[in-house]
Amino acid sequence: MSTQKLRIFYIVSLVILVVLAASLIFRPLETGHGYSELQREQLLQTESEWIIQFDILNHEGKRQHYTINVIANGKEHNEEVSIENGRIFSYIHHIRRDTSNNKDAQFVIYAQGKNEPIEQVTYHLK
Amino acid sequence: MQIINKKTLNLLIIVLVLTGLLLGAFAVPTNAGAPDDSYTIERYHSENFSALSTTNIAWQNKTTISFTPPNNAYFLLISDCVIGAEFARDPVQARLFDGSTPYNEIKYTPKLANSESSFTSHRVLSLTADTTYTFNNQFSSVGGDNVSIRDSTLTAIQLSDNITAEHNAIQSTTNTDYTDALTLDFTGDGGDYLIIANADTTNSNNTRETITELYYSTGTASWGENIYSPYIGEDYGNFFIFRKLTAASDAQQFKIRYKASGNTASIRNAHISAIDLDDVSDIQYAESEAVSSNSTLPGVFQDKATLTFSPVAEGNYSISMVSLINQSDTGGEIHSAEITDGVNFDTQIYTPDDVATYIVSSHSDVFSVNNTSHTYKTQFKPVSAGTASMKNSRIIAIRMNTCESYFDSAHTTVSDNFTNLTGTLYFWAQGLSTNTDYKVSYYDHDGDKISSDVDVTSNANGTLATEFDLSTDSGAAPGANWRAAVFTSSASPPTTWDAVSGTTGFIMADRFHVEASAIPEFPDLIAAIAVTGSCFAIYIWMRKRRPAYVYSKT
Repeated sequence: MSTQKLRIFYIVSLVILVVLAASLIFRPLETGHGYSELQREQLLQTESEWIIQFDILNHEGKRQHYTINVIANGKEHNEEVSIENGRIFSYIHHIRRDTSNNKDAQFVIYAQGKNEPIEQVTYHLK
Repeated sequence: MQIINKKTLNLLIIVLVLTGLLLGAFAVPTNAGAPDDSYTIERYHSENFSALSTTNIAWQNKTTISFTPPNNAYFLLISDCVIGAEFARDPVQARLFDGSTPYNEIKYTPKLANSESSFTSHRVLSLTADTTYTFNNQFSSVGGDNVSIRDSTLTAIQLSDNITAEHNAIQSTTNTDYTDALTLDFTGDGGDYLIIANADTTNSNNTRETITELYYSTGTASWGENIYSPYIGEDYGNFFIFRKLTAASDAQQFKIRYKASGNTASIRNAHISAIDLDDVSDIQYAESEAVSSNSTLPGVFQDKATLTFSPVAEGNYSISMVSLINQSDTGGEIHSAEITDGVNFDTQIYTPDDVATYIVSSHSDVFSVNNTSHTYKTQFKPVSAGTASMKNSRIIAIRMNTCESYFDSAHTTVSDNFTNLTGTLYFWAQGLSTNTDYKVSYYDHDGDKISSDVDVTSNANGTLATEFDLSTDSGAAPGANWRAAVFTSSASPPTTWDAVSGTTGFIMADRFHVEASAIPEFPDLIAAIAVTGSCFAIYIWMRKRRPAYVYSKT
């Protein structure tokens, strides 16, 4: 590659760097439409219980309120959580074997302002 | 031979630029915070020490405790406060109220503007699982004058036994010899008991006294005699006494007895409870029974009862103190105090209308203490005139349930300091119901709930263990005042820490500190500027250098 072309390439890269630096000040990076995401979903079994856990990641671009609705062992739990943009909430739920009715455990996660749940999972516990 | 050519230089700069951008993308703000001592909040305790005033003749809430027991159980409920008025002779009322029934209720008319009265009440209650119970310390003005309340506490402690007697209806006598108002019989198991006696007493004539005592029938001994004279006839005053019964076996009997010095003595809402101290661990107790007097002016506080102990482990203790106080001069005052490690945690000034009176001076509170020596005292002194006296002074410290954060899963190394993004916090709570489900929620430095552990079960010893992975959320703000909070299974942990204390089902919490990660990182902007500047500096430096050429002769 000739020196002239390298020089041009170098100048262009510096210009890009300056533009990026300026954008950090004047315009935060946007990744497109916001969304929420579940990670690390898992069902663990021990001698005495089942353990269901997952993380909720907020990519909505703003603070988002969620409701975690759980029906297990004949009981219903509702967990309310408010997650800042880019942050994670970790949820763990224990279901004891000695009090279990051996029926399904259902988890539904709603994001406020959205008609459909962001996640709906049914665990068959036996 | 060139040391470096332009092509290589440009590539170097590009690599540096890209590296700088990548570093900026992972920037985390540093935030150094001062480490905090851990503290725990015990089960079902509520307090408000600030002074609250009102001219309202309707009952006003000062302190509220609301909880939902996870199991059917007995609970000891203790309330305490200090009441007074802005001006002399303006009466103030106080009561412990469950929403429908006043448990104890008094009316106090101060002789002088700064004269105050303790008000302490107790009940042993049988409570139902999954039912929410609410109790209030309340006060009101009687005549629309400005009255006040302060140092208000409410504590509920679960018990395994229910040894209590009550007689709430009004009883009266003109007898100048003792008359039984209430009797408690029980069979001791050889262990120690805390005997608590409580009632409202009055006399129909404000120049006469009603004398009330807790009488230990089995030992034929008086455990404290309260002498009360109302400012206005029929105004009820507070009778409250506790004392430790040691190694009680076989049949035991206690009585609340009362008599009149003249006219008609009345008593109502009488309760005696025997609390089996096997229900709670690490009990500490001290007493000073004989009358002590102090007439030296200017008054200097004189110690009466002193309790010194070193807890087996740091945690929360309920500290209760009670004494009977007297001032021999109606123009003088007695100043009584309760001291914690040299610091007053409650003081009260009382001016008598009747020099024969011995009234209750009491206070109850919960303290977070470490495992070093601590000293609690009752004290008194005269103010301006007369002789101040104190007798039957008792102090008891009861360990409450507690929780703590640990470095290790075996819960041997307590830690209040952790590092963000690394390791695991091991949380451990004690003093809970056995084999019962609870919720544990974690709140970060900003007060946001960042994790919940639902239906985690306590073991057969009433201990509860959960873990929190500190690397879960890279965006969590390091700093002070992270918290782990324990709730009943039916509770709804709020989304922010600010709302936790008022949440039904909240039991206790631990505070800890999370420091920033040891690898420093920089904000995006600073990273970009630093890299850009470095690129230019390197470029200029390289431009000033001349490549060395080696010529070879062919």
